[in-house]
Amino acid sequence: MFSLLSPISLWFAAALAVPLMIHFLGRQRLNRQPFPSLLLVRERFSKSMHRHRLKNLLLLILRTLLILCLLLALSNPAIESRQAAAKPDLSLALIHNGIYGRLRADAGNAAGSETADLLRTQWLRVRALDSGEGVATQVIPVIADGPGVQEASERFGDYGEAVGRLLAALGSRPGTVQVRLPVFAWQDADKAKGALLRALKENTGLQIVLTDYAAAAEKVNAFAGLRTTPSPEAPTVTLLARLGAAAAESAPGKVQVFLNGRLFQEAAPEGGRAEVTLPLGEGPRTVGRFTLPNDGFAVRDLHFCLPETGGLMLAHSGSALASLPSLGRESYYRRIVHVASAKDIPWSGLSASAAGGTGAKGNGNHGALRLVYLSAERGSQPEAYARAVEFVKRGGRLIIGVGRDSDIPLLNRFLLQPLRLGRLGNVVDASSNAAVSADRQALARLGRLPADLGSLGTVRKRFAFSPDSGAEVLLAQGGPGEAVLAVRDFHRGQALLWTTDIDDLDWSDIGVNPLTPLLHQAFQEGGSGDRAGNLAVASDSVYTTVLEPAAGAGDASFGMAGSGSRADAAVEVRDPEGRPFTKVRMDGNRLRIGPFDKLGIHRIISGKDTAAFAVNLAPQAGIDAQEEAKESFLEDFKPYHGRLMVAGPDDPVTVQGSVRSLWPALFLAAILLLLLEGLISATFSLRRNRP
Amino acid sequence: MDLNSVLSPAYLSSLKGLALKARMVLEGTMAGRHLSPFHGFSSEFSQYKGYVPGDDIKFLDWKVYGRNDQLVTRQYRDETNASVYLVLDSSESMGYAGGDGVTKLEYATVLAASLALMAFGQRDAVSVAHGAGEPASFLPPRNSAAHLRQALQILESLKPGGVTNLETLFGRMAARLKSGSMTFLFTDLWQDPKAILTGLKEIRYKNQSATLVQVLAPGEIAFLDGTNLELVDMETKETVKISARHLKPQYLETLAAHTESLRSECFNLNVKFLRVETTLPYFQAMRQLLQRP
Repeated sequence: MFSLLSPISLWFAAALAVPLMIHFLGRQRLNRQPFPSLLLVRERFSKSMHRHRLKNLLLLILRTLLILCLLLALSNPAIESRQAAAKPDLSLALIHNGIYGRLRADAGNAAGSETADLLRTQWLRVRALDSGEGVATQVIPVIADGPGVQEASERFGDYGEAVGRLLAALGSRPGTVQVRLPVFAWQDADKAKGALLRALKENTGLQIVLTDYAAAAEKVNAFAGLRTTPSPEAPTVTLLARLGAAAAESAPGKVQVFLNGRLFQEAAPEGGRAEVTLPLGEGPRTVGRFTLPNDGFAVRDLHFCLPETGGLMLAHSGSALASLPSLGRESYYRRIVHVASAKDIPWSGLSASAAGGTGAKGNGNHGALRLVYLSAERGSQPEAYARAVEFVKRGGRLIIGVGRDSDIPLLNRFLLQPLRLGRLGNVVDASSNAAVSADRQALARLGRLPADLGSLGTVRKRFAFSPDSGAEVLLAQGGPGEAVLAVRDFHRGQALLWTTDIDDLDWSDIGVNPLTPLLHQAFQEGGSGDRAGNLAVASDSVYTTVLEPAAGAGDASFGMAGSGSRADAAVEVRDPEGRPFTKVRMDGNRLRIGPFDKLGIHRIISGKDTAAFAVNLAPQAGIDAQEEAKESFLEDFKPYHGRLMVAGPDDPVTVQGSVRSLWPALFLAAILLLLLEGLISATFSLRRNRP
Repeated sequence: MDLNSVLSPAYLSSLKGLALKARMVLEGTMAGRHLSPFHGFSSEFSQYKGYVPGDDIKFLDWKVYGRNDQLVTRQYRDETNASVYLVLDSSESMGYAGGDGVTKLEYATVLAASLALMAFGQRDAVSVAHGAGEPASFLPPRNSAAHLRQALQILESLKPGGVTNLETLFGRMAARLKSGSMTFLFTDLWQDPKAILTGLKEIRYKNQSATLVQVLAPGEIAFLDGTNLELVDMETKETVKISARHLKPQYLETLAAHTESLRSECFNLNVKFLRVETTLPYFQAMRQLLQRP
């Protein structure tokens, strides 16, 4: 099938009209001249004019064909062949650092190992996988995200944008190009649908191979759980990992726990499970990483924070596992507070428990929205701010973040001044005096914090802030007038204001400093009357939870041994979005939860507090949804059957057909036409001059 | 056309050396510069002739009789005058100038007027006729100053018009020719050679001295330039679209053949054929016209 890879060149098809216009205009523009007699003219006229017309017609055809050939050559024509080529002219692969996971390294496959290395070292890289096969390689610059890569000029938002960037960089080129894209979730692939359809339409030589890791989830199904033993005497948290059978057999790696960047403990999985217990409340350890074995997991690392308040915070979001440097980013807080655009916050859901003073205590997991984090955003409506003020009035706790996108006049007028917090001014470049100092007494009033706060981080940019008389400055840079963090009690609630963007390393590194989650934790705890830890079980009963291997993949069972009278205590499970999770079954002392249908952290709440986390890393039930999304996705690609292929991670992929560019042939044809034109002109000229 | 301006004294004086000589012996009625086939009483001895009864005895050469005892008479070559017929083709095509120059008809008029003046100077009678087919006007031969003036007026007032039909023109003129005349035919010869020759033969049949002068403009000899032309036939108004650049070689080839064909036929008929271009100075044209072959 013939097609044009750069049809835009056809805009120049108007050039075809040039020889035609010259031909026809030339015919019209006759010079009328009287002549004595046509006696002799008429005699030779017919023979000569016929030859002349024939020559003109031939030249017209040749010149038109010549221009047509050149235009077509510029349009990059290609002919598709169903016959499979040995290899593509260019092969690209998108290696994604894993919105949901990573590419599995194939055993014994050097390229796969390399891929795994890339995943460890790169955030996002697009490169040719098979450059070793003699295929042309195109390397597209790294597009990175996250703190630590400030020098990166570009950031990608999500999978769809990354794919779009790749295809845009690929552009339109002749020949057969095979692009391999990993699909971890078909819902994400749906975001790239537009870019894929456009690329397939514009580039006839493009073949897209979607490597379906979503379908391969069964192979990487695993479960990780964390539980706490909040004994007042020796509080611990136990991290558990249970590997899927296939994963356990194929790659018996080690479970590793890093604390503050150093390997703290490692354990070899036995029988598909590994367990690491960490003591709490000893020293200033704050952040850690729980690393699962290399193979067999869709998600490899869990990041957590162990505040000395006896709680545990997991770094996880609904869409990504946050990596260590990005602990300070918005995604981190998404689990401990509700982060949303101000207009999207379900203010109306402010429960009567919070507003009505029904004695709601603890972490607010009982349906009430107690803590809201308003990140720096543009486009907030005054109405949303009015609701935020109302929220604080009723006892809510509000963290206000600012940044380069903040609309400061709007914020001042409709939020800060109504809250009597103060007034923000212009941006202050504080890079020369970046040290941050704390008002410890004020911090102590906020909540329980470690005695030794360590380094508080640095602030490079902040907004000037004039606090009202009732506002307390918790963190300041230089003098007390240069506030970084301020708090204000307002009616029954409390508001906390950051004057710097804690999510932007250009502004400050407070976000990645352990202090910040502790502050927020303390702020949240401070709202509860008894200052109970968010995650600590405020009970003197001692019980252990034992993670038993489950019959099905993707579920978890808890045995509540020794809980005694607590066995029938109300147990509630919340899914990653905070909604009740109902697939919970009590079997004697065992609590069976699952199967899960959502990725992420599920909280098992016993009484008022979270007793344990169940982290679903590879949803079994989600596979059905995946299949549905996959079918929906592929429906739109039916016209491109054969050019968009879906393959498993281990399936060999061949080149389906090939595309051959025709522009060299067309250029050759143009040259031949040029020669032919000269030949015709010369022939007619010779015949004319023949005596 | 104002002949006075063209026939200037300088031009006329340049013609003084030229004499209008009949190419053939004319049978004139008046004594003139032309030789007569009749032996008359002029002083130029021609031959002896044996006496036969009836001969005028005054021409007997008694000296010969005395020497040889034979009666012979002396014969003398007689001289006669001639009638000069100037026939001009005044068809529409003769109005072609082919540029800024004079038209063919104007050029032919000047040549005819020059001949008329020369003929009058030698006491020859001058006749002027013109037309495209049927003669539009015919002035019989006379030899008087008034007649010459009238002839010049006719020439001066000539206007081109009509479709060339030389067969008719020459045929009608042949019927009016007197014996012992000289005929000059001025035309562009844009007609089928066969038709031209038919008329020419009729003139020649009268045993006249005829000169066929083909007058052509430069545009007809070298043809036109340019790529796209729409030629309009001046006589028939017929049009044809041509590429002059491409047609030129064929045209020139055909013109040469056409001219050569007429020249050859004229040679066979003992008619002097002359082709003049309107850019040729009149004096040179007259020299070519009057020189003996």
